Amino acid sequence: MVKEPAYKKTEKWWLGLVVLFYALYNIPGLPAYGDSGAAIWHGALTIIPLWIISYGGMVVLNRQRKLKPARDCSGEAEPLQEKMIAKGGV
Amino acid sequence: MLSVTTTWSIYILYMGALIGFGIYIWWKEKNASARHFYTAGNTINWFVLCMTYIAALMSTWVFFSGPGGYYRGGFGYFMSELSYMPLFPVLTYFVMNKVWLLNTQRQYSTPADIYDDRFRSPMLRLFLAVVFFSVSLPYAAAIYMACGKAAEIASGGAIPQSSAVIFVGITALLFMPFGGVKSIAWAATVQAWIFMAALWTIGFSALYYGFSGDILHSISVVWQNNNNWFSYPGPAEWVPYSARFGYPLACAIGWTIMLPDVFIRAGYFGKNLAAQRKLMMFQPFLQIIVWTGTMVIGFAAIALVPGLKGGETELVIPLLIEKIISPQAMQFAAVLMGIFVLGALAKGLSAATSHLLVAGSIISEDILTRLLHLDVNPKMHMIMARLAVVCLGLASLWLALNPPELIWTLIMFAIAVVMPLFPVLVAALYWRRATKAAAIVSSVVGVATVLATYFVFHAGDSWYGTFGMAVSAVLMIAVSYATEKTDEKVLNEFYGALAKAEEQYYA
Repeated sequence: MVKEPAYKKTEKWWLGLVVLFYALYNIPGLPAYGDSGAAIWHGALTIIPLWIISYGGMVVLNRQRKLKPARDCSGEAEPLQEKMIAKGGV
Repeated sequence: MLSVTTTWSIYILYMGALIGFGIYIWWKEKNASARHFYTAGNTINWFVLCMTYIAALMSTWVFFSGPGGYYRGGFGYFMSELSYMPLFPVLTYFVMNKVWLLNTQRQYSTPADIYDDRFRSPMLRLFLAVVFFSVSLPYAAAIYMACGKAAEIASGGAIPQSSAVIFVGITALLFMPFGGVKSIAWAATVQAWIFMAALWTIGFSALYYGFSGDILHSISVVWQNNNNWFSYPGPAEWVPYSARFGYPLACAIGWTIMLPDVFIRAGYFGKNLAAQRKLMMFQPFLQIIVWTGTMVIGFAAIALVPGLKGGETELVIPLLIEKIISPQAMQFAAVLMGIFVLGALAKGLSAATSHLLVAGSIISEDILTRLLHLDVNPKMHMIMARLAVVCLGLASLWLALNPPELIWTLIMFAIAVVMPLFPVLVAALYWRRATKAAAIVSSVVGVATVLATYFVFHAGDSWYGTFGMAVSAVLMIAVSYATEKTDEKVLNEFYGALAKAEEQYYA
């Protein structure tokens, strides 16, 4: 059995946590309308972790999923099969 | 505030420099193909990519409705924006980097190309072309109008809006067809710095002259006198719970991914995958720089000139300069007004030309080449591409001089109306079972749902395209299971190209 690469697990956690904290920020009723102090606390407790998770996950993923040495890819593309696409099918 | 001569000098010098630059790029690059003209064919380095992306995102209204939005929406409005910015790396990683990888193998020119490559449907291409075109052209026209408005305000009405619109529109026409997207991207790199510097200079100058540089005092004044500026739903009740969810979602998906001019930047421009990663890394910070600068202006305005209503709030920048700064430092106020004009102009040009170029690609590539099968040699193809851009530039200029009421409506829901196309893109990239029929049905019904959200249920200001996107996602799954599977040969070609690209670029 082929072992799943480590980045696959990180991807799932990253996506899940970002969605979770975006949802936490958006819980209806929180904070109460008109409560300025609560609005700032609510923002600090949900938006700051959202940023940390987004950037933390990205850094981990970039480390786990290395790139091959950068190269100019502009001349490598295969020609798009225009006629096949234009006809709407194969 | 500024003399007519000074205002025109700023416009003429700036536009002259742009035209010169466009001609230089044209001479240097020659734009051998329409693809290169429209998307630069994967040749944009990471720094220019980041700067052209942020410049394309922001419109001239960042100098008008932006500060006015924070004036009326308050700090909650700013926090709602802070909630969508960190979604950009995630969306780019899972979606746009795959679009980029496919583009290296399949050479796309327009946003509709990738959909058509997966679903092979002229009907879908036509529908997408209409949607993307409908959001591009009016946007460009509205930006011309804003540039004209900036000149009119700065000169105290001495320069009519229409004169400045004609000047800006014609200059853009001379600039765009020469260098194509590469000249626009490089120019936008400079323009982005100009408008970011302009925003911060104006915001901090207002606080400096209004509160002698004591920012804590300004916060305490607003906290005491306009406390609801710090809470939901804000002073003008702009940010109820529904909008706090719907607006950032529309920004994350509609505005920063699916609008056609940013779609091609995030998917087709980058020189390599490292550039894509830099885009993921820096884009949220660049957005923070822009929106925080805009928020500081809105905050300074609520602190120093409270009580403004409706359209008055869109003119807070000239108001701050005239009422707060000018009485204390007249010369500096004139310089700031010049910065305001230059910033609005820089911003306007980078966004308008980006929209016009992508609209041109839809006409020449999607409609004439792919759908009407216009078979011409490469040289003629390039002439056709340049002519498409010129014609659309003239059309948007005409629209800016004769704006129909519909133009504001189209801009209002531009970021919402493209949202239903996102689930179709995700399905195209990840799901072999997704079918052509499902892509068509979910795109059409999703867009119709967005229209209904605005015009039938009158809930667009809060929910934007949220319901349209949800309907599109459900239909994409349901109709795919109810219709015949896509031909394996087509799937293998598409996903094979993606797998090949991943193998080439990931270690």
